[in-house]
Amino acid sequence: MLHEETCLKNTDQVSPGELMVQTLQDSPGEMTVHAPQSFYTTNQYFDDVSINAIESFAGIPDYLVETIKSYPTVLNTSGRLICIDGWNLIEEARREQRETIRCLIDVAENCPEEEIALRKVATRIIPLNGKCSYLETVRNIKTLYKMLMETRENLVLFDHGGRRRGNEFVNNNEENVRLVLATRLGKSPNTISKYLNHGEYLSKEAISVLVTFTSDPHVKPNKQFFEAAQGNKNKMLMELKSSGKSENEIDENLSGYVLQMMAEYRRKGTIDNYANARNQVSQDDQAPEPSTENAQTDTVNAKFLPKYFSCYQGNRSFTEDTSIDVNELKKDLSTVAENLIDASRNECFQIDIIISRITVCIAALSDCLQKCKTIDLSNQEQEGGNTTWVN
Amino acid sequence: MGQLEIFCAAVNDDTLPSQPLRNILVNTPNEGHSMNSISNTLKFFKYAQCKHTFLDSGGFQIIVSEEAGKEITFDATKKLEMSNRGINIAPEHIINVAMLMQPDIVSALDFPIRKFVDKNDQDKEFMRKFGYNVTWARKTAKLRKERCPHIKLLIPVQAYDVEQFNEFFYSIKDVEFDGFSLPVRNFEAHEIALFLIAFYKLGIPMVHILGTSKLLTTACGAYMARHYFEWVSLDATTWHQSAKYNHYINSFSLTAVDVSSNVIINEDIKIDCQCPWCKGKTFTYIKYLPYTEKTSLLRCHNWWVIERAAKELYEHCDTVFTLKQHLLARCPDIEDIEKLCSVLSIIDAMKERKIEEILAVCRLNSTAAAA
Repeated sequence: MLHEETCLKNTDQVSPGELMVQTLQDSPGEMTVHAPQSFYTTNQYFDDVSINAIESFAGIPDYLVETIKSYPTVLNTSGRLICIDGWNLIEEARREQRETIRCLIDVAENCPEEEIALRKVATRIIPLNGKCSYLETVRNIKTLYKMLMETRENLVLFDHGGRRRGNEFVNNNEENVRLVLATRLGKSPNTISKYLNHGEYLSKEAISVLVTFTSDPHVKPNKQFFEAAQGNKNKMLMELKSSGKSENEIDENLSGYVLQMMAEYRRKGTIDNYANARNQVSQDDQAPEPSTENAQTDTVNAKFLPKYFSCYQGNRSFTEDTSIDVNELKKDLSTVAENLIDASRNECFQIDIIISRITVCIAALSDCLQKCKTIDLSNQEQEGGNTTWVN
Repeated sequence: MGQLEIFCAAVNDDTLPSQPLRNILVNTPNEGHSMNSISNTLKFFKYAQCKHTFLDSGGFQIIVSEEAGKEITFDATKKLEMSNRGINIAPEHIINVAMLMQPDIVSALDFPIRKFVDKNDQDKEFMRKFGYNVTWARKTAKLRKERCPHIKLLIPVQAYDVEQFNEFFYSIKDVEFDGFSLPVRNFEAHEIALFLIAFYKLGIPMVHILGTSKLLTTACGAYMARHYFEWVSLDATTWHQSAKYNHYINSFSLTAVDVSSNVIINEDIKIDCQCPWCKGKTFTYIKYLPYTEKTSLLRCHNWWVIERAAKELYEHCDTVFTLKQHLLARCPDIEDIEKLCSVLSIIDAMKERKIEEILAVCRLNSTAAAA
């Protein structure tokens, strides 16, 4: 094999979506890679590769727009050569009946499907090979998120040094997946969340239909479309959830609504407010996040400092037992009686103490009375009575 | 056995937390300031498919203007107005809006008393607003009787304690109205219970507790609805306000849980809520939603748990004992639960006695309990 190794010394990225391996320069011109972890790119070079040896990767669909590079990008992992971008060039070479094609080859050992997918998505998000449509990014991040949430691999293996952004892994898989995506795709976790949100409740079929509009030179399912559609999507979601629809039904309905909105967007260039029939649109829905000045008295930084989360889970040890022991009740009654007798007979007691004693006894008696009523009620219920909820 | 109803306040078609939405509360300055606004509100009622509507007078907007040092006028000959400069509102405006909007319930105009801790300050504030509140209650009631007698009229109680309420009641006792509304201000649930029993002793069938969705206050309202009144209702903007500040309302205790983007969530803490918005989701999912979607989800969830809690509390109000058992299972504030249940059980035992005696025993009991 003819190797033309690329010098990566001054770049931040050695391959799509991946951060540079920590390097030490032992002597001028000599690079040593220290302790590469799993899935790191250990080498990158150009080579002429046999066309028949290259596999395509369907985990993430090929991009609609061809790569801007004149060569395919291939991942060499565990003896396999997998094309992560530029499959059209390989097909073209095949049509021309060429035997080999010049490729940019990344070498990384033991890459699972998730890692290959990450690399394929990153080729067009961190634009090495050209950009892709907004819809493709939404679809791909949704696919990657699902893959990583379901992976049996340790997520740390996909991270490649997330501390570069000050992010650290925490005891929360969902959070860690977002961090991996953010780090590998060069986006903030909030941007990743926005992509996920725009892809939520959008079926594969709906995405396939929307993809057909991405080549439209004028009106396409771009970021502006998704942002305009989101307000209506939220309202429809509220209605569907209120009516008790299942998640599948919601997916189906919302996908249909999004396609309807796309048709409207293509026709008019805008989307009407779903609830606009009443000619009243509140600004509240799109309002920016309010200042927490009044909500919390902490310092200004409180908004940004990490806060630990807690949520009361109910008193699980407490069983709502409404059964009452009659003997205990009678014992309480005799205690009250003894206290009253004590107050009446004790000559030292001043009037304020007697008032206090009587009051405590009244409260204790009220309590006993409630218990008696509860026993009485449960007896009635056993005899066939019932309670009716009026509201 | 009466009705317990929870009214959704500060809602519009963009923030609607469920559909249908059973009860909606709007207020005169915000939703009644123009024909266009009234017309939109009526369309909104229809869209929300609500069953009960409540037109609040706008006393709250008066106090907000007063505290901000804005101009406040009560001129019925000028139009109803609320702007950055100030507010102009009179009983005539409220009844006019009620005639156009046809709510089920309307509240008389009131001049709310401000929050004071010192007893002297409270007495002064009560006396300062007393004249306005009596005059406006009488005026609103007169207009209601003449123009829309089919709409229920509630008179707001602007008093710091039951004794002050008695003074107020003495001045309006010849007026025709359907019930009282009670702003909760800093009142604890057991203090609200004392006001409610005072209303009951006067034969009032209908009560509205203004501006709260606290668990224990709702519990107090539920118990009173089950055993004392034909109607008890509450309203709150908590569902909306909490959502605005990234607060998720805990389905057990109805307290706020922060799900802002800077909280560190342990994935072992699962969502234990059956609402259609939360079910199957995680706190991390909520945390990372974009702000608009997050507030939308939180509004829906928050409203759902408030309504559900009210329903469950009502169902557990057979006796004070059953209510207490239920509260202990869902709320960690044992001391407050004890206080409320103790007051409710004394009230139950002494309901045939004079209100002064009930108050005396409740107060002595709370002193003894504190000692």
